[in-house]
Amino acid sequence: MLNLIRMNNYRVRHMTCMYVLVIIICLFAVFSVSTISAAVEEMASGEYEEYDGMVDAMIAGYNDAAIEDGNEEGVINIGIDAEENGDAYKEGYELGQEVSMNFGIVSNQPIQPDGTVSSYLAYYYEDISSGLLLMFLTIAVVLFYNREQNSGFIKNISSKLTSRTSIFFSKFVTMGIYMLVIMLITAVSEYFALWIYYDGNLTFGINVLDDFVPKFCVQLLLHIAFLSGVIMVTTVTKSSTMGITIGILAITGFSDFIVLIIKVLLDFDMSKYLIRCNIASVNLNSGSEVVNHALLVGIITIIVYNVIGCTWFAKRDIA
Amino acid sequence: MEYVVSTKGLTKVYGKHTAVDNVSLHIKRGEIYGFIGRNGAGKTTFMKMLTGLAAPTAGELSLFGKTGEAVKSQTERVGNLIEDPGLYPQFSGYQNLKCKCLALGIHKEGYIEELLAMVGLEAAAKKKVKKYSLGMKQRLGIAMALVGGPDLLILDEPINGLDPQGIAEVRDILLKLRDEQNMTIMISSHILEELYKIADTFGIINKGKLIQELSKEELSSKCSDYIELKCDDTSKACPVLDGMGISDYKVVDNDTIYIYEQVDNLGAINKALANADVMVNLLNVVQERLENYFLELVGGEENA
Repeated sequence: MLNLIRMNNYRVRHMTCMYVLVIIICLFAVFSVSTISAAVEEMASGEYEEYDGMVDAMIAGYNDAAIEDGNEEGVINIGIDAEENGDAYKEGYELGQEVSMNFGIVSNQPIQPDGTVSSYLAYYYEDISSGLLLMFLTIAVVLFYNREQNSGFIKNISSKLTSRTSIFFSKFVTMGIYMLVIMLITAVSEYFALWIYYDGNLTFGINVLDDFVPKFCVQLLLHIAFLSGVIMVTTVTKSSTMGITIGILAITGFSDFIVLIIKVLLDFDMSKYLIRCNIASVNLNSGSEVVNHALLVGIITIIVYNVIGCTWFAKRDIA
Repeated sequence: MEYVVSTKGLTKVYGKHTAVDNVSLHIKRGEIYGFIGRNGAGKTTFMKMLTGLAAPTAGELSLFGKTGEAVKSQTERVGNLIEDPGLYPQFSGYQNLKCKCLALGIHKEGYIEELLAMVGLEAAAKKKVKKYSLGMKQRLGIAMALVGGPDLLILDEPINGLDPQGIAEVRDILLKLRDEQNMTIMISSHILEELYKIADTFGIINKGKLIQELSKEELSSKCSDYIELKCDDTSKACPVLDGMGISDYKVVDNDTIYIYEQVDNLGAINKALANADVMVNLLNVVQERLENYFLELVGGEENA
């Protein structure tokens, strides 16, 4: 098992596309900072009415949140398709209310009306809880996983191992390590992007560290759980296209259709048990009930997906 | 007799297609087993079952004397090159071998270089596999199969794409492995003459069924030379042959007889026939080729 993990790590370190992905993620982090910073500048100067489309949605998010919360700090929503205030999604869930359907990836950035970031850690946390990283990682993980199958390399190792389940499980562990590394790289990229943008006037947010660390760990677990599902689908269907398509549809909220149908037909709210919803629901202010629930969902999901994946992989013919 | 591989009624069914049908085959320790069959005959599927890449639908498989669930623990002693070498094209030859060594926990210094030298790829160690020729990939595939020093090597068409020099090199490698390491090797190939040069035992498979299993000596006797006699009347020639003590002959048609003994006695046969007033139109020694024997056995007319 340890040998297989070593082999997988060797592959990751020597695959060009993994480095390309890291560069894209770094650039995206910088782009994300510059986009939101530009929007905040315009907003602070009172010219936000000139925006339309996505930025309008961002401003709406800020206004709604400011009005609802009645405090100084607002919330900026950025996203591929921020149809409505993403915060309602989280707050609704936390309060046990009905969760509104929210398609697309939503990031709620804790930026104050004067254009300053409340704290770096809060900013970073909100970024990873948007699930945006999963979009890139879904592609990377499927490519990494299926390359062994498509190239036929799997034939070289599977006959040498007593238990084939270790091949599947070692990839899960490698994926977890890679996930953590990518999250840390994103953290560093965003820190430097924000630091440059704010001329070094950036609060690290050490006061939220106690909240940050456990919730970051939960997010990591949830991200790994999501990618376990992607690997499981890829294993069962033997198709990269299927793995990537289902993964991206799940991230962008396609599963909400299914949730809605189940809700209407069976009066059962399945969203509480979906990884994507849990990733969005756990924020830095979340109580222990929400965090524990997400933790449980993450662990159970990982176990279920890995049992299905390992069993399927062990039973089927390799070639 | 100690068999490294022994199967009893091994069968593999894909949907409605029976790829391997009730095959009972035996491979002795330290021998090279030539597996002969046309495309789609079931060679690859059979080899996949031996290596644990595919599960048999029915039948028994014994590896190194172990059967049932215990077979799984023995597949780690098997090296394979099945269908294609199974390489990462973006990686170099060295990196591909490194991956397999890491997976098997082999960290011996200079081990990869040794393997590359064995298959003549030391100069292309750092070259990406996607830039390798087909022959180079095949050789790297053999090196991959040798990682970990297997006791049984299963090679499916390993000399495909190799030039004559490459074929000779692979032949030497396999003979060396058998003679120096007592490695058991199962090899399939379409180049039957090459297979004939190295294999000790042959198994011929057709439409999923093993139709014959024979030693090199047995095959040699079946593929031996014979005399082709063409004359005006075979009914007059046969008593002459009988009179010479020749009994192993076959009357093919009205004017042709195949004689399988006294192949070196052409002159005497010709003289005896002439004395009996038999007009000889052709008297020639024919070398039976392995391909002909194979085609005859599996029904060569089906290829037409």
